[in-house]
Amino acid sequence: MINTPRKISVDQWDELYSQLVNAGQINPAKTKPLSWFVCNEGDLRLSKLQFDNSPQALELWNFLLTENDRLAKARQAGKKLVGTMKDLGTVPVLCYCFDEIVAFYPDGAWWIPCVMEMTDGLFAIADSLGVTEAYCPVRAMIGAFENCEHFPIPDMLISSTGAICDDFSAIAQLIENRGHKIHWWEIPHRRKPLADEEKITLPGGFVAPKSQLDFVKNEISEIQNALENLVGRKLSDQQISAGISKANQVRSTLEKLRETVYCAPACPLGSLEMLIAEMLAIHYCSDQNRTLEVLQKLLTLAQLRVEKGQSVLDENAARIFWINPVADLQAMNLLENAGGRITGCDYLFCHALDQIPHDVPPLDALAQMALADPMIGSACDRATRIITDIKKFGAEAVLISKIPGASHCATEGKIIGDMISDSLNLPVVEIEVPPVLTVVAPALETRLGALVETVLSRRI
Amino acid sequence: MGKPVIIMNKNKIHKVLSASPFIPPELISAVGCKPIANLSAQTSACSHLPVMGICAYAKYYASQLGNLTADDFAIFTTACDQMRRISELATSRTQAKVFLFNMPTTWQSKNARNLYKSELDRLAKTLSRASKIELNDEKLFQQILRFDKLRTQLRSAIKNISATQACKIFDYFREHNSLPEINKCPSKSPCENAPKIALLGGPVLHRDRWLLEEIESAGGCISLDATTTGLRSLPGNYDLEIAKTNPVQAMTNLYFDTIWDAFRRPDFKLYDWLNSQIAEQNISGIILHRYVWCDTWQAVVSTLENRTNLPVLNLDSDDEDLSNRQRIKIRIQAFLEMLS
Repeated sequence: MINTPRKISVDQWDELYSQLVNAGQINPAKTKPLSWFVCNEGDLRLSKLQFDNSPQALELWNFLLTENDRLAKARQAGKKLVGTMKDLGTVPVLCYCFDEIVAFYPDGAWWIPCVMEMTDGLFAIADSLGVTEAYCPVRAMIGAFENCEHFPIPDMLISSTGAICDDFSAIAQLIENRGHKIHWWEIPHRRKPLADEEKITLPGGFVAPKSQLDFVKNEISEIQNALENLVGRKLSDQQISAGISKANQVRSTLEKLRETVYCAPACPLGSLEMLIAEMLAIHYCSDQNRTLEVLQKLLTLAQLRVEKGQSVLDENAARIFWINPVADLQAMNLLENAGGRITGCDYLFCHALDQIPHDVPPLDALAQMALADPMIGSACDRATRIITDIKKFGAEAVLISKIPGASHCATEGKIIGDMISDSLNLPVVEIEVPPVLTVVAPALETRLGALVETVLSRRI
Repeated sequence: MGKPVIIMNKNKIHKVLSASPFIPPELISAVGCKPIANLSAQTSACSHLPVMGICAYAKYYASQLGNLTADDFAIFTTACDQMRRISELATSRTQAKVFLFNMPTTWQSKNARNLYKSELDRLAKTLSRASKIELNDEKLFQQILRFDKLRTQLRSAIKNISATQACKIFDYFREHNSLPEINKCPSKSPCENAPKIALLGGPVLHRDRWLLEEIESAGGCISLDATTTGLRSLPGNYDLEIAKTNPVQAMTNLYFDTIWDAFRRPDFKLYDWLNSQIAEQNISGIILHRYVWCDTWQAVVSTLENRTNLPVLNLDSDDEDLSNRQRIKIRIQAFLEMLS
């Protein structure tokens, strides 16, 4: 039935879905066809995307697209919903140490205008509050808080602030000013230790002064207190350690998946599915156990395909390293259609993929994770880590995807691009993709095509 | 472009460029350096910065680095993400030493206050290494006395004069760390019969000071300059008894507790402060001035309207050009007509 792995459209998936249901390979009570989300949830963009044709990939998409149902059920079941904002990966680990809490990122709303092809009206709401297109697409988040149609309003909001994008900080403040109280916690700019300062090497390899670690640990301790107050019970160090171990299970599975897919000579899994898989490591899509299941199935699939030498794309596809998440998911399909494949990426949350240390007290371990965020340090730091990953995954070119309006994108692209060019002599292209790329598609395709051609010509 | 050749001059006083109100000039002076925050200086071109995504003020600040030598320091703070990131570009493009100050945005916890204090300490140590002058309580207290007195005089000097004139006094104070000779005409208050305006926002560049003149010539009276280059960013007065025994803590508390800005989280103290000023000065309208790409100030508009219940004119200004200026003038005139 599924002879070869390939990318297919929503319509093609419908046909395949019926066959797989009839063959007993998909349980329709648990897994819906993608067209269901187009018709019933208004996720119109799906009909413009191309998907992996495996049941495992369909399960992944179902898991992603049904998060709101899980949040609603969790609330019905009496669980507390915590909206964790901006830190991308650290606070949810602490939240999931409590059985009574389900955490999610309201930040994820930034893809709603893309997925719903702007029919959601979230940007219009943001505009009406003065949060115009000068801000990054995360401004959709304030619209979602206003119209309450995209996620349940959380029982508690926790947002990092400090060395973060001004866009996000300003929007989060406006959300608070419109009635949603936020527990703010400070993440400082990670700086180089002075010669006489005690220093610490963080997961991922960055180095920071010990004093910064102590500072962040205090902040995380305050978050712990706030969560304990929310649920009305204390959390022991053992419970946090257990939570960290569980998070590490997810991270190690994802790491194996990344290595399997990005290092493979031919591409066993497309870029969209890998992007979604990576995102699961941030907050588990509101179900940590299920996240692990979904990732393990994808890993098994990818390993099997590698073993058989199967590829969803042209076997000679240009190996591209992708930097920053893209506002319109279709851009990743465009790269693949132009003859490229993604072999490595930095979607702003590499620190959420690293193993959390076991050999230190649990709050120290979480503080290390938070300080390891590539976005809170210098662009040079981030570039250094990217260069390591490029070498590891054997990318042949780099694509920097600027996020429209984001405060970090005005300057960091050049720094990162220059460092990569200088140290690896790889071609680097910078693109900017709006939430719906239709208007810029021809120009974008030309640029992506040129990048792929450049890579292929360098092979000769 | 590589790093410029560094030429050190042993006899020179180290200039320390900073435009953040959270960097106390008394601290810089106490370690033998010269604080400067000159917004009127001629600047070199700033071609290394991208055109899109950087506000005019950040570009201006970066362009000033060309006026510094290897003896000097340029301080950036993390209060603004653009400035944080430009500091990285600046490091390789100026002879001066670049210091990135970790300015906490939160302020309610002891942890945040301690971070601010420790950053002041790190700054003092860095400057001391260059000047060879160690910071001690006595030296700091002397500078505290000096600046506290200057700020008291400054507050008195700007009473009952126009905002345009006050701005010039502020500029002089920031550039020279002293006050100019003030020939104050004992005239009537400039605000009689005119709608009283609060001008709010980030820093206003010298080249954009026509904005204040325009408001005044259109019949408005700026009775509160709450921009970063105005009164809002002037710290309060020291408790000198406490400052005498623990000057570092007194300085930390003064700056941390009396300057309220849009980047601080949460930001309600900004509105508390503003509302107290509005009541005191009987203000009838607010003009918010911000540079394009300043996310922090752009986002305050709707909260400002809700919290103050006053009409707000939201002015965005970009690089200087005639059409920009004309557009702003017309909007100011319309706003003041409405208030009258």
